[in-house]
Amino acid sequence: MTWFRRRRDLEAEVDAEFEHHREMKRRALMAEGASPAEAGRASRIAMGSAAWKEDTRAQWTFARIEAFGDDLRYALRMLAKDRLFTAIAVATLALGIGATTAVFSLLYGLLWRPLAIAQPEELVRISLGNLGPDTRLWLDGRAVVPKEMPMIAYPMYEALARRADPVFDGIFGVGGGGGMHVEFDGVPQRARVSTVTGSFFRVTGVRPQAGRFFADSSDVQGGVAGESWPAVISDEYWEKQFGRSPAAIGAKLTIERAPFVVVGAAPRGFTGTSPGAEFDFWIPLSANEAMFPTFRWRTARDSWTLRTFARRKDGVTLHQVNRHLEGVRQAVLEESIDPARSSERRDSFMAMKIEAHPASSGFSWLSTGFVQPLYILLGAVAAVLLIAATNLTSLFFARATARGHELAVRLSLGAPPGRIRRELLLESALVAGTGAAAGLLLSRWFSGAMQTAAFAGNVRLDTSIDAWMLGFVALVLPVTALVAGLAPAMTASRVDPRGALKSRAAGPASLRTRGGLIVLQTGLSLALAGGAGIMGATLRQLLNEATGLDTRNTMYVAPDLINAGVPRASIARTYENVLGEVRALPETIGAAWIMWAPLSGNLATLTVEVPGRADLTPRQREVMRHQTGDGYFAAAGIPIVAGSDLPPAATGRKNVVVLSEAAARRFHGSAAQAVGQSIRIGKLPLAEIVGVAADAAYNNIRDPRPATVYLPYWNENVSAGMNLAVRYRGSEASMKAAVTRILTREAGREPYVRVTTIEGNLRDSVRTERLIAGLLTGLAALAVLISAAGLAALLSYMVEQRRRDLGIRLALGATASRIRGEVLRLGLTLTGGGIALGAALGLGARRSLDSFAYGISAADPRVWLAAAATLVLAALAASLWPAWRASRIDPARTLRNE
Amino acid sequence: MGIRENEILPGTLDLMILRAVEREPAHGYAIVEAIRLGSGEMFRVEEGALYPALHRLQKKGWLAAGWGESEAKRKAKYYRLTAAGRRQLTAERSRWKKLTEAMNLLLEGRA
Repeated sequence: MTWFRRRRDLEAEVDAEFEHHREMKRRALMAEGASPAEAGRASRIAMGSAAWKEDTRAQWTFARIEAFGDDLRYALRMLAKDRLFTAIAVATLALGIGATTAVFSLLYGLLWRPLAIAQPEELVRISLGNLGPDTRLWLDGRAVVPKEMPMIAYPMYEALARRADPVFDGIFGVGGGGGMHVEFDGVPQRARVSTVTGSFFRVTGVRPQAGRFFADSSDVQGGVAGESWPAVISDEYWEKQFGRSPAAIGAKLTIERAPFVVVGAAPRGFTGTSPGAEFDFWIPLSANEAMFPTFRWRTARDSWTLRTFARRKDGVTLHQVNRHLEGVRQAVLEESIDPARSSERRDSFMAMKIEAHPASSGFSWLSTGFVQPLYILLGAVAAVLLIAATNLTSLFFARATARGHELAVRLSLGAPPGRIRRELLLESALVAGTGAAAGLLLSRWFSGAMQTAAFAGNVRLDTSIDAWMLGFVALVLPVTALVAGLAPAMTASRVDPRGALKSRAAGPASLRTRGGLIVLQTGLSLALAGGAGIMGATLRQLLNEATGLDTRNTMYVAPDLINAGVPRASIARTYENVLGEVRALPETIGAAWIMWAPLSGNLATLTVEVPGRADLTPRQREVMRHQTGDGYFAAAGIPIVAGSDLPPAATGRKNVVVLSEAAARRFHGSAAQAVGQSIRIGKLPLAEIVGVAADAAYNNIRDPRPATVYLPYWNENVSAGMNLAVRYRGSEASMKAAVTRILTREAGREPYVRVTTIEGNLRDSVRTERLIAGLLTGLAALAVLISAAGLAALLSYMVEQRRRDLGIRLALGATASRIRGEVLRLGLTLTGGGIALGAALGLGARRSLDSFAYGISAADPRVWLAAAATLVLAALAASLWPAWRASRIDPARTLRNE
Repeated sequence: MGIRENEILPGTLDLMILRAVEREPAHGYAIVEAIRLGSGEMFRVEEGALYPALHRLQKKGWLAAGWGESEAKRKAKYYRLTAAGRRQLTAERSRWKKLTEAMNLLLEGRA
């Protein structure tokens, strides 16, 4: 505490100096003939108050610290006195900072938060670049021509792994994962399972918190002889299933009927390499063959299923890694190419680049589809934060002016302007600090709510606060606080004491600034309101888009029959039995098996050959594929417009298809002309087009009429996991119970059943749009409200300022309506300026919205006019009260009070 | 009739103080006296203005302070001009000269 000591030293010094001065003065007085008593008294009086001692000490820095304590107390007192102001300011900031931080935390958790692994900065992910023109990635049901393919096939992974040594400490692949059937002691449950190569734990460098991890030696075809497959459980699952008991290690279980044993538990916070995805189990990739014997992942050369990561060797740069990959590219591609590729597709394969990208924060499937909406929202919340901050500026201005009298008195009594500036800044810093703390608390809640809205609990991004997050707040906050408090503080300390004491008027500068802020606020509000309007219209369009399906009284039941005991070999037989029994139920109107429910997010495409139509490009020959059986069109409510339905499964008739109308028209001109023609699917024999069904949505409502081919599901090997489409009368619950009873009887035990409806799928498929539309609407409403409040405050304040002028004019005969008109006109002028600015902003942001807009252009004049009208109405509402007040000024009283 | 410090041009107090300690170190009382007598009893600096100014100039590095025994046989704080203070004094002096010349020119029509 050195400054305490120094403070005492300085006090003693100044006292000594003071004492000496007095003594000298006393002597001088005595020399002039005063008596000692007189001289003593007179010298004390001459020295005046002790105030100058403090002024003297104040020349030194630590006196400022002391003064800071006083300032702090003073600022707190002033804030407590003005409770309404403080509450509004803190709440505005808390909302603004809370929302901004929440959106940022989602982006951060998705894109930038380092993985909970050893030295995450060394991790890179491998992707394929320079892709052929026929490469398509399906995201959210939308076909995207990707810049890079983030997954590779297993044969390529092996070829790459053999050449990893020079630059990598290790390489690992993460295969598909998701909900699987798990049984402990015969008790079934669904759990989230991730399949990974044996090198996964070694290369990530994660340490088990109990037991051990599995290694490369366990990830071999067929597994280790005489041993169960090893499974690693997550910390959360260990807690939930075993209550963290050590007995969990060694516990036997089956996953998809294959035998497993729990070998270890992953540490808390470890969720793998895909942010947002959480897993209960990690198991070796090779266990896939034991669980899904029909899944040809190991040898399929065009089945790109493995997300591949590698750890850079110490000292090897990303650039060196990429140079190495370029060097081995040719050999890797040659080893992994499918020899059956046509020469054209061969060339595009061999032209691919193998690239490494930094992956310290992992890589998520979400990042491709969800990042853009988050950026849009980040822009929107930042705009609201800006509006909130400028409104605070306005509030602080008004306050500084209202306190102009007090400040002027203090200035004329000799208070240093710097000190007053400091006090005002301190007040805004206090408000900002409190607002930020509340905002951080709010942000946790906001981000949780947004995740639930966006993902329905399927995804959990880590939004906990870490150094980087605090850094973000630390960046946003001072800017906000300064914007809000600095300008008014600067202006206030320049108050001219004489002027302020006389008229209590604010300088025109602060009014101009505040007017400009209103224009800015209104502009941002218009941009937000317009964006909200576009997204709202998009959402309505999507939800009202005709799906071509009868959504009433139809459900899709997906039973997990294999895990309920049905052998794979007899799955086709079971399907037929179940279908027969369901159709026999009195409440059934129609029923049929189909591979995937429409709009469920699943899809398969295929490129067909149309005899006699050599002119069609591969892109034109690409169609959606449904595998289904007779009766589906009736059950789903799709009319057959030409020809007939698929034949019954019992006939076993293969090589027949039904086309959608769009496909029929594209290939043969019309539905009628298509019937009887043939079409070739892959390497199968030519198939006859037996019928044409009306168009129906497939997996994305944004494309309501895709060209689709309906194949009989028995055309090739019947696979498990089909959906039973059922159209029924009566209640959904009793129908589901009846179907489940039939399934249980056929399988021998109750299967896991997932029931979906078209309406539910539709709702799920527009989740992102709904989130953006909802949040933008909320944010826009908030923005309009804040802006209107700001305008009302400014106008009232101006009326207050000009009370005397207005009073005189009213006394001289100006009409009340004229005064009212002036105030209204000012409000509308500011709003007009804001609308012009907002239109420019909206035009600039149009492109990012256009990619989400559906059935409406982002520049749709109706929406923007409606948004502008809303703002004008809000401005009118905000101006009415000040205008009325202005016209009701009583000249006599106002002038008397002066 | 004397002029109090707050009635004279701002900034001149510093100049007066620097001038007062130009020849030899002095304590606060002596500086007041030096200014009073040196100005033909025209300027009277008040203690409330002097000491904050002294400490401010000390902090700026134009004055240095030390303790000594005064003519009253008492411990007193003496201020002396530093090299920087001397430079400042020279600069202020020439500025002041220009100022008075300009004022003369304006008021009397001659420099």
